[in-house]
Amino acid sequence: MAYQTDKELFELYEYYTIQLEEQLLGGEDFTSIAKAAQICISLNCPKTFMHLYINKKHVELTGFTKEEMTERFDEYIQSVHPQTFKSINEFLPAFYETAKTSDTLSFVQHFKKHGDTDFTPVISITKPSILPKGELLWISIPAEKLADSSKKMEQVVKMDEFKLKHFKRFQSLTGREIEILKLLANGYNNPKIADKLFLSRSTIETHRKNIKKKLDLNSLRDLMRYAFAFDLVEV
Amino acid sequence: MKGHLFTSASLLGTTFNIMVTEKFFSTGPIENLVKQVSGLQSFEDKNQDLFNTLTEREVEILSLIAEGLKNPGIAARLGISRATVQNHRAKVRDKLNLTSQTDYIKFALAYNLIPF
Repeated sequence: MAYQTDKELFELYEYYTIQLEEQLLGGEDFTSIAKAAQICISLNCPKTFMHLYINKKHVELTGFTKEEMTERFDEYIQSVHPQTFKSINEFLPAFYETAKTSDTLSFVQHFKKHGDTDFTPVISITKPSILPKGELLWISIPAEKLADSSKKMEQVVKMDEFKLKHFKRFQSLTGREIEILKLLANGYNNPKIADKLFLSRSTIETHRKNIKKKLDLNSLRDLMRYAFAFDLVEV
Repeated sequence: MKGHLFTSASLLGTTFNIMVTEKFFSTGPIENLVKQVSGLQSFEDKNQDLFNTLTEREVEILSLIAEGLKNPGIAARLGISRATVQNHRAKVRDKLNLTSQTDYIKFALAYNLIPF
């Protein structure tokens, strides 16, 4: 697959998801179109998100066929990280309900690959259903597969972990503090921030101290981690 | 066709409401992270020529600065004098047109010299 950036690669996968769903809508059989695919594809129940259909690649990765998932349900559940279940149930329903049918959503899941004891990150893409029974299409690619081409996907996964670990701290910031954090992350120093926000340098200094305390920052590196994870860096 | 950017307050709220457990992994939508990382990638592409002008030693110094080490720390780590570190630092700054400390970190992340 020829692409320039991870963003383009992502857009390709998003496009692929949309195309795949349109094929299904056009009456094509799931098994025949998903069989040859080199990535995991599943059609899920709109209510429980449980898999209704999965392709061969999905079976290879998880080690469970559709029948085995039902028969050995407890075992299958163990292979998905509890936080993944929790997160999915938190944000997916809202997405499916509010997003347009042309929208897609990407998220990270953690599960144990067939034969592994550790959890591994997988990037999944889904969209609101246009199918008659509302089945939800998910496609998934192991992050390491994407990282083969560059280290950037690894950064996405790490940022994702950082974000969840620190969102409570980040949430404790005021709007003004976030504004200042953003300026700091983009190379502004105190005098420049003071000029831009029409505040005194000592006020900026106070804000900085509060940010430092609230986020437990020890270095600029820490500050930049927050800035990247919370989408504040202008790159 | 467009990826869903989770900037709207309501959806951001949903993401942020996830309960925190002792050990956790995945969060929510990653579109904004992909955007940041793609930004780093464009940054990498855009500055490739500048970056190529750095010597191996200068790349090393850049990584250590980005890691948060100060000149004395870098000198000790590499077994060179502080004045030499200062020289290298100035070279890196001039070659890459760095204007702030955050630029060092941006470069180091874009070129995978330091982990996130």
